[in-house]
Amino acid sequence: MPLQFRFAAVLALLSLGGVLASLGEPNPDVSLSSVREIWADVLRDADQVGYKVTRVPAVEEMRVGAEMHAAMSWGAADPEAERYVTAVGARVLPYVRRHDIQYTFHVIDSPGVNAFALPGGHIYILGGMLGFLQSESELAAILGHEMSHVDLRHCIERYQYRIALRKVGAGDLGMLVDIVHDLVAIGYTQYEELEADAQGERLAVEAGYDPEAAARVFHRLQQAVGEQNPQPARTPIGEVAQSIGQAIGSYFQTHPSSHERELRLSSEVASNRRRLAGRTFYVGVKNYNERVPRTEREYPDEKRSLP
Amino acid sequence: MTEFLLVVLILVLLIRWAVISSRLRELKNRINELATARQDRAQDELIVGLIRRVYTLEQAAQGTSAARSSPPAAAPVSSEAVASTPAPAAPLPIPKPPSPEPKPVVREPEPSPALESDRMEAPSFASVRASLGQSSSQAHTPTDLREQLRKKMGGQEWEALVGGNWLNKLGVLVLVIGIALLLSYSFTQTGPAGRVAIGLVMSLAMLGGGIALERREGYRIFARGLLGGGWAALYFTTYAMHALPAARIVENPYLASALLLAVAAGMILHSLRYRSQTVSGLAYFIAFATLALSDVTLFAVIALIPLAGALLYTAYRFSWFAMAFFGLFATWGTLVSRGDTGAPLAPTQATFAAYWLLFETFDLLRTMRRDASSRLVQFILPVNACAFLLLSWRKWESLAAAQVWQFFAAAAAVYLASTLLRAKVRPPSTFPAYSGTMERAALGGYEGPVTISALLAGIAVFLKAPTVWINAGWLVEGEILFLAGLRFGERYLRRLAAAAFGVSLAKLGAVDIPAAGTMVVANVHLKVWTPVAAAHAAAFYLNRFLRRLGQEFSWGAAVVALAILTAEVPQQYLSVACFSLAVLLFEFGFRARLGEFRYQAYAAALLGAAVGVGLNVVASDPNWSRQWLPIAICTLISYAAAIRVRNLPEWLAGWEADALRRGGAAAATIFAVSLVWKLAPGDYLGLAWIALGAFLFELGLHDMPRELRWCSYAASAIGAGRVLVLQVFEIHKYAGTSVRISLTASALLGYAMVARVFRSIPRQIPDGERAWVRDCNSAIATTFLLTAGWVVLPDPVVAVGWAVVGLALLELGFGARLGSFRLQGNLVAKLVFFRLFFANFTDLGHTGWFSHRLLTVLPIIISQYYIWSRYQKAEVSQPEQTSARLYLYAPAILAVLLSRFEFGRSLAVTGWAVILLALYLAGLRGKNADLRWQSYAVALLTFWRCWNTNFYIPESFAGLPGRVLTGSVVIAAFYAAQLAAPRSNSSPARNVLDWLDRNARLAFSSLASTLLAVMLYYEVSGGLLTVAWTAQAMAMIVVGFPLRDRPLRLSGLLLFLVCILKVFLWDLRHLETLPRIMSFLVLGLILVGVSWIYTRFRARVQRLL
Repeated sequence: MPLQFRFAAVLALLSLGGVLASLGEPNPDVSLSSVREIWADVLRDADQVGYKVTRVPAVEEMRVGAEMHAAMSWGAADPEAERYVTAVGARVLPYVRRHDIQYTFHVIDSPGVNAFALPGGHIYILGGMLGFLQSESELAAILGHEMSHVDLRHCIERYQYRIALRKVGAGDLGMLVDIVHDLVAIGYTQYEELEADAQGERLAVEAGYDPEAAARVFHRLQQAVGEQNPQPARTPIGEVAQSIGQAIGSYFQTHPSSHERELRLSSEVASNRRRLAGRTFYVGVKNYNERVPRTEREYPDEKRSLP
Repeated sequence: MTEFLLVVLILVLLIRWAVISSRLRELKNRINELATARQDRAQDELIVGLIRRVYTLEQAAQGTSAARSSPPAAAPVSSEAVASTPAPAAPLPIPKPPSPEPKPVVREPEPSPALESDRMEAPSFASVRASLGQSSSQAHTPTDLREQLRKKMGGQEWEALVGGNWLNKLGVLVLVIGIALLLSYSFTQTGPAGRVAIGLVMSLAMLGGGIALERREGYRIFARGLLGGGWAALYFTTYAMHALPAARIVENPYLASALLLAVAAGMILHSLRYRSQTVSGLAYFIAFATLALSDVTLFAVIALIPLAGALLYTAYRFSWFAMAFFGLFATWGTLVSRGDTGAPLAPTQATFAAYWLLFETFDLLRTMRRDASSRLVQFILPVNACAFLLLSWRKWESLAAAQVWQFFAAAAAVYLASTLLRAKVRPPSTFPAYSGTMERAALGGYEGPVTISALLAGIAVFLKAPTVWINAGWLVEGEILFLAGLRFGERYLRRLAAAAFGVSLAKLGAVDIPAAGTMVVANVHLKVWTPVAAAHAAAFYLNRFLRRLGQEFSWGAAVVALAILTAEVPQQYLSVACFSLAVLLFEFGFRARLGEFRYQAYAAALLGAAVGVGLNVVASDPNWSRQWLPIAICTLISYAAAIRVRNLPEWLAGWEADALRRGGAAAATIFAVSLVWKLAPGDYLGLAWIALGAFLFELGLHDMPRELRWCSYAASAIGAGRVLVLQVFEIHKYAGTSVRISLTASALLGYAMVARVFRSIPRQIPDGERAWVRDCNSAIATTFLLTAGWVVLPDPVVAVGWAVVGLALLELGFGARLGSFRLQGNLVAKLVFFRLFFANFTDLGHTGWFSHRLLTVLPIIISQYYIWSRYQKAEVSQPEQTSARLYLYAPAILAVLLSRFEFGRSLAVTGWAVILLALYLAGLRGKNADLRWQSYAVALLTFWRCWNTNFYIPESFAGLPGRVLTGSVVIAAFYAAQLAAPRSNSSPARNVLDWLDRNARLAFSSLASTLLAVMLYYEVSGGLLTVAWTAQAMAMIVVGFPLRDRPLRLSGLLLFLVCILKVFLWDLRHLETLPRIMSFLVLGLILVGVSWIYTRFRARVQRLL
């Protein structure tokens, strides 16, 4: 191909790409999150070797989880709420990968808006979070997120090195190794959260719940906590400086911002919109308010499709 | 009052006598020295004679003994000494002293002084004289002290001095005063006639006594004192006959005056007889003293006239200038001491004038005589003038203050007359060349009176004229002085003129200009001082043209003109006015070839520029709508100045023309920049400055003038700096349309400049300058364009826009073989690379099915490959060519990252698999090791990620587990690469990469087989794993034969070995029975089958190996 044509073709390609990108829905995010993510990939890939070597079987993971659960003193549980949560979790449960894990759902009487998971399938949701959520689909998304942490081995991986050291009789080094490992793992824990978000959303969607429920939760959470959206930088230099500042500042955060999580979840839905089109999803506001799981009663008006 | 005057008179007398005594002492000392010298000479002669006699006697005494033993010794006096002595009438023969004989070397006792003296040579005359002198001085030390004391006492014994001289004079004084007091006392005791008679008797008695004693030598001093006192007493008595009511016996003033004149004449004649300044001085002094003590009347004042006249005549007759000065002092002192007589102005002034005239006449006469023996006489003129003027002024002030200017004017006229007289009697040409002004004035030159005249005239003008008319008067006075100086060739007159001008200007500046008065002339409001200042300027210019070397006048005129402009021209247009004046001055200076006018023009232009910048640009009135107008005019004038000397005459100095062109161009540029600043809106200001720079550059290219080219760079730099600071560094995404337009237009202007100088323009701009103009403009324009792109384009598209710019620059750099453009293009391309990390990889936007990430990053990857390919065919330096390899690595990295972010962490390996395969195939096809090495790196990354991550991903696609799907893709890619890879050769590798490149087939095969085995490990659980691995191994071997792929086969064999080990080490113990059996069976069968193949088809296998 003559040189001129090649040049013209490249220019045309660039122009076409630019024009097409300009025509679409913008979702700008000017930051160094790409670099952070790449660095997290590197750390995770490096860490994976150790995880493979020290992998813990499901049985042992559940034993460790049970020990940890037993060692903690929780507030008085709300049986009715726990029953409801368990029912919703059970609805999601078939779609997890690790079926050898026996999931257990706990409700903790605490005003905190939070949820977490322990190795071996112990899923905890705080009373404050139950009060914050507005529908069963949102609860499913949150449970899916925590179950994904277990399913993706995020929970047990925190303890694998200590377990392995204990096995070889070097349990005293466990604390030290944990500290070192935490310094490494902190570089990618945010991406494990994002990964759990995406996987949790997938689990909830597979269970028939509203795909946009998770994004709504983080949207409200962002407003409730008063988390400020990072304002886009006004100048090119400010853009670079702000990106570097954010990258450094957020490196030691264990969780990404609610804003970023909402963006990612929305983007996930958008990218799968075509695949999800035509399917009916359940929202379950009434079920949630009445604490009646969808498995027991479905309201027709709680069903919706993606626009 | 009387007592005070007495004390003053006594003091004056003492001082005067001290001076006279000092002179007498000096004379006596001189006489004594002469006498001493005569005695010394006689004594020397006596000593020399004695020495000679002694020497002769000694020679005679030694002659008897020396005649037997030694020749006569030489004379002890040297010839010089003899020559220095007064020559005797018959000089004696001087024998030489005997030479010392050699001594035997025998220790002898110390010689006694007597013996030593025996051996001494005869003393020379000089040494004897010196020793005598020494002994004499030692012996006469007390005498010397006395001598010194005596000298201090004037050569007299102090007692004789005090008693014989001082007491006499004091006594006379006391006597005269006593007479005066007696007369005063007699006011009540006797009638006028009696009083006068007493005075006359006493006066005549003193005179007679003096005359009688004066003939005797021993009483001469005393007698002279009596004579002086007698004359003084007589003069006072005569004076009293009319002046004092108590002694008035003469009513007619003329008669009284005639009597006084007669007494004065007698006194003069008598003093002439003695030719003694002391006598005459004493007489005059006493006369003055008596008048000073008498009542204050006009007659008393007039009575001084003949007295002073007589004194002056005497002084002039005998050159007693000291006495003349004394008379001056005494006359004016008397008048001062008497204070105001209360007489009317006219007679008083006439009297003062008469006194003044007396001394002035004396000074004139003295000048005519050209006698400079006394220093005191030099002060006659100034003291006379000061006294006359002060007394007169005091009188005028008390009686006619409003008309005092008339006195000063008249005095100025009188002194002018004196000036003319002095110029006549002592022309300047009679003074030595290079004599100073003060010297000539002291010798009676015209300088003194003309100075006083000028001063008085100035005062008269000051007192008479109102406000600025004073300056006008001074100007006229100065001009007259200047013209006179010019006419007579007298520098001093011109200096006086300059002083007059200077004083006038000083008043103008210090008094008139600060006063805020205005006047209306022809309906035009002017400052009150403007007309007179203009007159000054006009006069200065006139003087400049009258005098060839009067450059200071033109400078002064220029300064005055500038001052007028400063005051009269509105502040906003002051710079214009200054420039206009500069134009006029320059044109005149240029045409008349007068450098001073041109320099004045430059100064005025500089002032105009400073004023313009200060008042029209920096501190302009923001509420004035036409701020731009004066700046525009200044711009045009400055530019006209720069253009004016484009074609220079030969006589104009090169540096001046250069400076003018440069200065004009610089000023025009500064004002043009300022004009644009005033006119252009803020957002477009930088753009406007850049446009101005382009315009100036074009003018400079066409030599209008060429200096503008350099100025244009400054203008462009300012504009670019503003755009850079405010619209690049401070730009924001939501900047308005104006900012966007400004940025874009600035960039286009920059590129237009690039286009303008793209080709060589001989004789208009040097190639070196052209190159950096081109490069700087393109760099700045590119910066602006990139910024504009950042503002205008959505975040993910910015990199694409930048990539287009970078590509264009590179293409331009390749086409025009411009390394700087390629450099800029490279920088932009690198910028694009990094920009993707900020805004593209994590961008979540979509257009249809395609993410913005894909739509933007992929074209950029392609563009970077294009750049690399472009470099392959370009003729560039080796380092640049080498660095171009980055364009081979950068897109690979971008592609890997694009895959990572486009497919996510888990599925990224599928993209990477494709990438590694594509890279490897391209590397093989293009024989490009870089691409192959990249593929190896991506392969390792893919392998690592696939094993560590993908075999655990939970996703599934189209019913297939994601881990299987992604793993299969990766494995397939590895195998494909293996198949594409050339077989390794046996030549030694240069390095690890080379080894890898040579054994790529083995590497890809190993990676693929390992991944497959691992995937089987995760996907096939329990006892079937051995079966699966066995099947894999067999498949590898089977496929390896037809493919003639030894690594594949070896991998299969290796996997077999693993299976065997697993069967025995793991399956045997851990598997349940059936699977365990199955494992063994399958493995065994396959192993057999494989071995069979190897055996059965040995020959064919051999060919396939």
